[in-house]
Amino acid sequence: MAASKATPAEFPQLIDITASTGIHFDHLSAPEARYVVESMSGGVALIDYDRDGYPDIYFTNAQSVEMALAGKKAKSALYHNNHDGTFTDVTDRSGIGYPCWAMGVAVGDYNNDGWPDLLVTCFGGVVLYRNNGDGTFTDVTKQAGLGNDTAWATGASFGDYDADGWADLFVAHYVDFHLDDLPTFGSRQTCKYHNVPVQCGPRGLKGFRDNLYHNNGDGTFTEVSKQAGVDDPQGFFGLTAVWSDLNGDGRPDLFVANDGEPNYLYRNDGSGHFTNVAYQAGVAVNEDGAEQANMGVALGDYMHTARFSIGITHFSEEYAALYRNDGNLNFTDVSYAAGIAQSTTPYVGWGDAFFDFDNDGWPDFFMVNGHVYPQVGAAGIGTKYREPKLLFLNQHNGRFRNISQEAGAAIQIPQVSRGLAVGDLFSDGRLELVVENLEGGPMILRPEGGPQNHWVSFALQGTKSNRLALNARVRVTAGDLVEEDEVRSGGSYLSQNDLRLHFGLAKYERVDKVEIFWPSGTKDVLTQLPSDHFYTVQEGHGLVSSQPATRPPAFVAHP
Amino acid sequence: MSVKAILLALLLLPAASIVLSAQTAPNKQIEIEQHQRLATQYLREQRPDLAIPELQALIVLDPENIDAQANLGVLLFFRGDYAGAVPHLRVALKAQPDLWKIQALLGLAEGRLGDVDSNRKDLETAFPHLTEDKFKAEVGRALIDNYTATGDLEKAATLASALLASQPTDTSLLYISYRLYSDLADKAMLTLSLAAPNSAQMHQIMARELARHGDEAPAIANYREAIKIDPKLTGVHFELGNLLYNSTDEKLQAEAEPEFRAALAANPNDEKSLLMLGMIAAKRGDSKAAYDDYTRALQLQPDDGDASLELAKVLVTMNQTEKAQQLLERAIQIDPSNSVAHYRLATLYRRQGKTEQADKEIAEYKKYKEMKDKLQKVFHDMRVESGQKNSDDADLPK
Repeated sequence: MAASKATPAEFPQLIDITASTGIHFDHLSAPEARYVVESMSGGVALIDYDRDGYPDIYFTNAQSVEMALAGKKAKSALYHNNHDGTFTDVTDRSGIGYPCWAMGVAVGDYNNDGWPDLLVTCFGGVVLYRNNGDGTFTDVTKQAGLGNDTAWATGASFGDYDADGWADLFVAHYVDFHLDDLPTFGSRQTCKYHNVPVQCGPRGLKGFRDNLYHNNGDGTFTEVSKQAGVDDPQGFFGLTAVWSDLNGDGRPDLFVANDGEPNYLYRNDGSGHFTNVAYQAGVAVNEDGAEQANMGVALGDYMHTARFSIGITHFSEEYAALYRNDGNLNFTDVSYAAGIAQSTTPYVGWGDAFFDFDNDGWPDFFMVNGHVYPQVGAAGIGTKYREPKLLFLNQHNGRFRNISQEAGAAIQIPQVSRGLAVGDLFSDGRLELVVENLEGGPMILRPEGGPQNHWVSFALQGTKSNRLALNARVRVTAGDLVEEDEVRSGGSYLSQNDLRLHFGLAKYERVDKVEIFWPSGTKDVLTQLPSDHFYTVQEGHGLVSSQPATRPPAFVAHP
Repeated sequence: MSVKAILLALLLLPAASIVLSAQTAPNKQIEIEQHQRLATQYLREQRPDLAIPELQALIVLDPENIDAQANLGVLLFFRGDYAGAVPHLRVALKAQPDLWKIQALLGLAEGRLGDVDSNRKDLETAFPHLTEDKFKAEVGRALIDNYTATGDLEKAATLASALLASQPTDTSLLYISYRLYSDLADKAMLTLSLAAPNSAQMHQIMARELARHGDEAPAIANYREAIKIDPKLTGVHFELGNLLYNSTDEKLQAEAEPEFRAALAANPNDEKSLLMLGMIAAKRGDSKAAYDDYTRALQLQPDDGDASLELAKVLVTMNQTEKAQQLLERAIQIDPSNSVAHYRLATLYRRQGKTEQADKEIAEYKKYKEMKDKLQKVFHDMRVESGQKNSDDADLPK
């Protein structure tokens, strides 16, 4: 597709507001990344832990092998949203600074008390933090029955697969890796990249099985992986897991992205059992039947079909794949046809998201990149360790336009990015992108300028359904726009988006109809809602609150 | 059955075949018959150590006995007494020139004795008449060795190809073929480097060698030098285009298309370049251009499975699934192990709701994919890691 030159007002510019936010988090990194475990951390969560209506931010952190062997730890961080464009580090008070060798994070309300809890995945299991509702968290991992999970956990996701009203938990595992038995850097062919010695793995190493935990409704979980049929007996290198009702039958299915191996799409058969239909569905491997290094997962109804398609980021020399959901668990790899594939091929992609960048009612696609090997520059193959981010504008016809070079200088700054979470940080109707980088500080991007489109946002509260309404679906109709989205835990890469659902409305100042399909099977319908508001909807009770947009803080853009 | 067993079975002296001379004295005749009987008995008992003296005694009494000469030659050959075998085999052959197996055996014996000329002459004469596969293959290999030893690699390669045609999976023949063509390539390169060290062809060869070893930048430089010397050099634009296309460097990838176009300008019937141009267009999302290129490629080469597959892919994006399906089926017909075509076909069946057929194609895809993956692993383990295995294992986590 010929790139047309955009006028400045056609879409917003993404500006880097990190410096203005007061966030001074540094993700630790080993400069040489001699071990695969040093390359994979960097999840970020948007969690409104104090329920003040503004998403707060949690960054995971990870030490190097050298630090770990010396008994040193890395400090993760929780930043409280001050509502004025700034954040305050509340890590010490919250008690979640040192969960483990942290990888990723997912949000879920495992005890249905209305306070979102935090699950941190670790090189060495998981840590479940119960939100005490007073700004502090308590590590309840062992008492919740999750203490036996000691392997290298990566992507986790809460979802109520049996519709009993309690959020269950799936944890993907990566490599069977041990600090007392480390592979030697560059020692064998699988530890070389284009003949340059690099860290070993995951290829050549052994993978580890995934776990599904059933929520017993009493604050504990029971591992049911095998009986549910999701135990990953081959031990694929699991990275990202997301619950989503992909066939619209009201039951959340489970998608698991495996690095360099076929993905799983577990169809929820009901009765607590799943069937892997990834091959039959066309999402196990790419359009040519090749396994890809599946990293981050984004779900979105980018074509307004009321079906969630899957965007998956991959390693360099592979393209980011877009699997269009054609219904009935049939997917088509449309990466090339949609205009995603070619420009993503040079990069190692991680966190990704469908999000309505310009509020025109059509989800755009964003992905962050950064290579695994610091040594890659020496390979002389035109690839660098630090890589730019990519933004694709939805063309409303099944295609995307790569506007990465036209959406501001910030996203062109090369970084070694990993996690990505999306949410309206300042409750002003604009979706910010929070990027966690493997080395150094994060980057927070905000769309500024562009068309003054309308929008609407919904926070859902389950009553019969799980309290956070995970996997509830919302369909918004405004004029000729019919959009659909779903509340999800986890996803992207090791990250958690804001649980509120945001819909761009383009020119429409009112929403004609809002349909909420709750996991319990019930449905709420709202009509004639003014745009540019935040609405809270409670299952069975309809609208319980509404809030207009706040005036956005003034930001200083960098660069 | 071994070659030795085949020969012994065929050459076993039948008692009834002995025709005695009318002039043979009665005592001598009795003695001949006795040796004959014993030789036959020992041969049947597979006791060549006892049969040989009997045949030697028989030949002293009856040197014109062709069967005895032949049998003795065979037995001595398999005992490793090539010098002893050769005269007897020659006598038998002189008397009866159509004893092709005997001549082949004679050639083999001569080879073992270092008589290269006789070895080649006898093997070349006998080889076309041999019918037993195993023996023929052994004789063929000996002849290939002869050709190779004398530097006649082209003849050796031709013979290896002929043998492979009837035994396509014979491991030793496959290796011989690999070795011969490698040697031929080395020979051509050496000759060219002496004859025309600065020629376009020399740069082209160097580029190929460098590319084969993953030295992308110098390979590209050599191709460009070759083009500078001779812009019309056969195949050079395609080879350079291919290297650029497969580069991981985006900028270099972008330089592939002009090379394929140049190749096509030099030869409008360059089907492979058309195919590559189609792939570039498809990647760009230009279905129309891809369709045109693939269609033309397929017209030029209807049996190109890759062209069928690629055209099918672009037809899928154009929603022409019926045509795409036919082409995928054709690609599988051309190469049943084409896992990509099986997977693509499964996708089409699935879209049409033909679940059973889709599942069947998925099963085929998995079968051939697994096969290829295994093959790749074998290559990887053997080519890349040989000699490193022990130290590597020590480096791997337990």
